[in-house]
Amino acid sequence: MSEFAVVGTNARKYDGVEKVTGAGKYTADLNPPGMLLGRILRSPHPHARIVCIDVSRALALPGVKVCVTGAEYAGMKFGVFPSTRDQSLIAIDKVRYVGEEVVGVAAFDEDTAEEALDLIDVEYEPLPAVFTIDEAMKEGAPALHEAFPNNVGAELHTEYGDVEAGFRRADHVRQDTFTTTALAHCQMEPYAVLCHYQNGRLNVWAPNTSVFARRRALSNALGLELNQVHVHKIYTGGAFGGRSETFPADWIAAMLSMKSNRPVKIGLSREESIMTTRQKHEMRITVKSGAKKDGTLVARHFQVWAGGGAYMSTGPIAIGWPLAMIESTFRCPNLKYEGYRVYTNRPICGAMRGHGGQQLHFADSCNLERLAQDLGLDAVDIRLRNAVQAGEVLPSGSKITSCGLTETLQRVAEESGFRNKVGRQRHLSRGVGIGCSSMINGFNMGARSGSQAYVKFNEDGSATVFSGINDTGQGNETAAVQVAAEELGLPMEKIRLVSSDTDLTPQDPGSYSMSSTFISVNGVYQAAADARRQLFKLAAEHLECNPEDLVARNGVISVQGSPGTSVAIEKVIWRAWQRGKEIVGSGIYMPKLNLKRDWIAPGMQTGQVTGAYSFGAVAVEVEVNRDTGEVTILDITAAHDLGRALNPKAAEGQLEGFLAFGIGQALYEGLVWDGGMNLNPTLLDYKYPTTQEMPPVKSILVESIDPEGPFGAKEAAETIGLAVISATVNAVADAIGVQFNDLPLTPARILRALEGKERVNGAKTNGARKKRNASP
Amino acid sequence: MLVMPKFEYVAPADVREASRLLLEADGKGFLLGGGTDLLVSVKQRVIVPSLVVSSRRLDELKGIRHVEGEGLYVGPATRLHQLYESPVVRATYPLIALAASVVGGNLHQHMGTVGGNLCLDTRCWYYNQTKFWRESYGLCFKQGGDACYVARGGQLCVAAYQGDTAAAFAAMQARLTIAGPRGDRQAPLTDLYSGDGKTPFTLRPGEIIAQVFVPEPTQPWKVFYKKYRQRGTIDFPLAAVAGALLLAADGRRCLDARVVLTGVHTQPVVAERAIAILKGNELTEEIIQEAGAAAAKQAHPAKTTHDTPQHRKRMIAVLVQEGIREVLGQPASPSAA
Repeated sequence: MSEFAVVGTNARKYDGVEKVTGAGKYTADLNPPGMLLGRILRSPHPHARIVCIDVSRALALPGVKVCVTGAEYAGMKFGVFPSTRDQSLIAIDKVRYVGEEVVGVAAFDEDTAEEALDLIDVEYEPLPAVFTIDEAMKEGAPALHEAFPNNVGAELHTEYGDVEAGFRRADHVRQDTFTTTALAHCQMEPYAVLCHYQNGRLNVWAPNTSVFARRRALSNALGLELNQVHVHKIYTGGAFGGRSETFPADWIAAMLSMKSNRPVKIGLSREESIMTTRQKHEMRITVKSGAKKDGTLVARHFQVWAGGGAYMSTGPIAIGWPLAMIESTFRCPNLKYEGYRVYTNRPICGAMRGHGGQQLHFADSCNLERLAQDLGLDAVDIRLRNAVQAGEVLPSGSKITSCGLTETLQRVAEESGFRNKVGRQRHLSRGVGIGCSSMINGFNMGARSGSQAYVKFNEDGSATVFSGINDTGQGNETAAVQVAAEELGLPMEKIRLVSSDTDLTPQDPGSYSMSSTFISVNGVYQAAADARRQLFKLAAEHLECNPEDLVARNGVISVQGSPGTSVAIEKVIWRAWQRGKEIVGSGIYMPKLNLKRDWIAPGMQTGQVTGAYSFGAVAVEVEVNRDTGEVTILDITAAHDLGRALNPKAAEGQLEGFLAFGIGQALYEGLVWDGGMNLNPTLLDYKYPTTQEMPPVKSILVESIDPEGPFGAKEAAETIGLAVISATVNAVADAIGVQFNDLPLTPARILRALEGKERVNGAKTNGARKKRNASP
Repeated sequence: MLVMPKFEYVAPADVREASRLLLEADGKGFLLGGGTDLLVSVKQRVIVPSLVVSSRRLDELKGIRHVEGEGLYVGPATRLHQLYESPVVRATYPLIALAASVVGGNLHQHMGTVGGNLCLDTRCWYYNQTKFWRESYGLCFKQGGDACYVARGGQLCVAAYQGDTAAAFAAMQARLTIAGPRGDRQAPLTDLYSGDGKTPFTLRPGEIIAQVFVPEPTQPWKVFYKKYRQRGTIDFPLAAVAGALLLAADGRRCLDARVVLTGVHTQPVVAERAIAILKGNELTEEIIQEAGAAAAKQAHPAKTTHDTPQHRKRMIAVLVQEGIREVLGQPASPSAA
């Protein structure tokens, strides 16, 4: 019999039946009585001054109820951080990207609202615009925001140790520059929001990754008390970082509802979802690494330029987060990091899986791979040599508690047959590559860094758990229910979870910092443990034994070793209530963080950044078609250290999902531009991979049993979605002898490289490739 | 979400009636097959119809009929999946089954019709966008504007024809029966295409494809349909080739050849130069390479989508070569072990 009854089983997803039967409601499904439909008039210009706006003809259209413009909300600004409030709720005097919100309209039906947009007269005076990082940072370039004349809206300069001295001690120094493109999340659910302002309170339904973050942002933006904003529980059809913030559509729906006293729903099109919610930062990254002959890293210098679009969004995190990831993958005592987050006249970039880490990891790992080749070292060995270990204190002072990095590397290397294959299949245009990465589990959000939960019982012995835990499809709710069931000794069917609702559930950080398992499920665990203590105390009185001798399983509390001496939980509850005694479990999990640590503030990148780190490694085998340039991934071996697998099948699903994401970034995806216009804002033209592109995946779950995690668990999968990118790029290099610096590796790019016409190895080569690439 | 504009919808049971209604709609009427192309364009307001005439009840336009010794009659309202699920099409007209089986994704094949695929509007990423997008960027030739944003300074619309089955039907020398206000007329399938990306079809107002006829092959043609797209499903062809080769008894000499390209021009292209190279020759590796290169010369893709024109052109050569090698039972690439 397993140590656990529920934890570690492949329990069915808690929300699975509702979702697959279509009974589960998403925001677009909601149609409360009296609802108006809203549409948004958007800027056709990448950069322009608004001379005047006239909505009178639109308001005169029968069926149009209200319009809102920025002037009505002048002075109110949105920003993720108090220091980054750079965006008006609706554009007032200036628009900074194509798609920016200019007027909101609400009408009795969508046709009318749509028609009304054509009747709004806006006079613009176009301004010169900048679209790329280089254009934006060029001397004399037009500035998007007056406060930032060089368009660098946020920067980070950090050094740990002495990097200059470190490079002097190195036997070999290698520098490479890499680029990545902007990406779209492509959540299956296009963005939608429903707001109903009623009796002085704002009710909100919208796909989100944290009802509390959404509430906070809306209350700040609209000047409402926190308890006047109720963000309701609603299913979210995928987030991937792109549902973390509040968006202008939220404010506009709220304003239209406040003006009309009716519920107002705004549903965005796919194009609007891609162009006007959030995108992933494009980046240029220079990595310089110095190592001893045996591959030991002695100094590293990272320079990161992130093209971020018109407003700051989570820009500071996008440049700051990768630093936390870099120092926690490969040990390096001397580390220098410079990051620049650059405004451009393109859509706003924010969080997307790995939040800058994915781009940085690609650069980090490919640079290390080439360093190894320069030194004649094995790709696995150099990673193992520098892999961080449990108990290690990182350069910033952050400590690694549990760590399975070495094991994940060893197991993927072994189970993929990496060492027998590397460098030996080029005649078949086949190659193997490896990558590995770390990931933080939650980060400093001040008082909101921890998660609380309550447990109450019902007279049949079943329990209801109240937790702010958020689930956008990952299985977080299932994990919470499993952990509660295990700790309470109840079958899963006896647990009801009430989650993610600002009025009903307690504080939670949200599911956007890889924190849901480690922090939110932990909060549920603490509350369940509290309830269990109360149950055991009462049961011990009844059974005349010590509470420490009791165990609970399947709704029955019994003395360990003598199952005959037992009492049903239902009976314990009855007895307690009859005696006028309440049983309510409550708990909070607050990770041990340095709450002063900041993403970018000078000198503040020290101390504990996260409560736990997870780790993963991926080996990829590819075949390159030299005629077409197509890369086929033959198979993937992926190992992830998730502390403990609370639900192995769900964890494997997460692994495969994020591998698909990484494969997309490596081989297929990229937003394509003509100036400020995105040429492929559709699921047809934006080439995310389909099931047809997914290779067989061998998933390996490594359990390092974290001392703080619930039953030792940490986040599942985020590391390998990072690692698969460099593993794929390295595999292509092994197959055809070309090392790419720019993503994605499209067929056209591969063929150009084979002909020596593509920028590879950090420099554009003309004619024949340099010999060094031919055989490592 | 995108809002469908208002239009009148009718579903007549008679082709003449459908034709009359379309004629009366004066260019604002559109025939609806499966809707996989039309309805997307309507939602994007690329097309703003006043009238949509559904083929749903036009039973005479549905179905597949094979007449021994004569040929295959395909109703244009036949769903694409019915082509590759039909035993007779698979056995006797395999090229058509092959092409139909790789159109879009499975859902497109089940909704989309043969007529709709043949009349797939030409595509370009400056054209297949929402009204907001197009008005923000500026209108191109195909939208009634005065510029082409792909071939800057060009005088013609270069939007790409990206239907799959047209190349296969053309290679099988299909003929159309076209019903119109003044009765039926016959035309080779290749005459359906005008070559102008802006108005890619030669159908006159009120005309409807009433039937697609494919003569029964009297010789044992070996066929291939090779499609290049970025993903293994959903995508339109970036370049594709329908090929049919008639080989001598020795299995090496080519007695006759048909090669039709799609996805790389404003219309399907009969690769005459490649055909001339193949016809009468022994299919050596040298000839195969030459034929591929000649076909590529007849491909004129423009930067209408994410892939580069150079790469799509090059892919035509690769696809022709792969197809011929497949027919000959050789590995796809001569370099392959």
